[in-house]
Amino acid sequence: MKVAYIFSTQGHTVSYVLGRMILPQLEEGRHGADVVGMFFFEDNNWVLLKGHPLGERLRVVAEQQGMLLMGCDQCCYEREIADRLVDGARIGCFPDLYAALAGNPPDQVITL
Amino acid sequence: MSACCAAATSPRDLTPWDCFERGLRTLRQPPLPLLGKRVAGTDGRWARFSLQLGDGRVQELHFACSHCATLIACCQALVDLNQGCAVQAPVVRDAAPLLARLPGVPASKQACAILAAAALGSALHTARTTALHTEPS
Repeated sequence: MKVAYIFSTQGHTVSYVLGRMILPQLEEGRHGADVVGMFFFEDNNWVLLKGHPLGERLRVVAEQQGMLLMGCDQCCYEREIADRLVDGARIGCFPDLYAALAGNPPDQVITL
Repeated sequence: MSACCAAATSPRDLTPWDCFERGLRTLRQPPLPLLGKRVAGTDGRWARFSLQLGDGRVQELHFACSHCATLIACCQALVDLNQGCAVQAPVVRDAAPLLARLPGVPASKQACAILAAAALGSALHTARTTALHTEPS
């Protein structure tokens, strides 16, 4: 099964659910689903900042597994980080997300 | 006002977020009498400028465009930079100088600046043509 994650909830979600569950599982190749993309809203975009430990690990996994990393464009502009994301990560809104996933669409989109 | 005067008074520290927020308000303004062409990109995004002339200068500049944060920011930056300038000598009308005045737009989104600049160019062309045809003989 192919999934895409949308990180919408702020607070502990990214550092806990992504950092301690999803990402280590992806690194070990035992997540149980092919993650085709991740999309980040609001303060969750900070993990995509170049040099962020989680973001850099995500970048490696994204490169190895062909996974899309996209930050909400308005959220990134507001935080003035749009041009400072980890290599390979891009910004966009729903049309960009759907277009980017069109070639490898997920079976499920999971909002966390 | 000459182009250099407009350049001297135009804002120097434009940010995409600030331009986007102000651009949302400009988007709600009705079009002005001199309409440029609706310029569209291959991805479906589009932009169109309209302006009002007075004494050979751009008295007012409005735009309509797709709801894309980067495109709105680029269009608003062109409004900020060119309002009040001589229609024959806009301060910024190309993508590269626009991006230089609007730092923070990532490479993957810089096509929006090209689209916005092309749309402005069309409106300026309309304005120049109109001004030419209304000049007293």
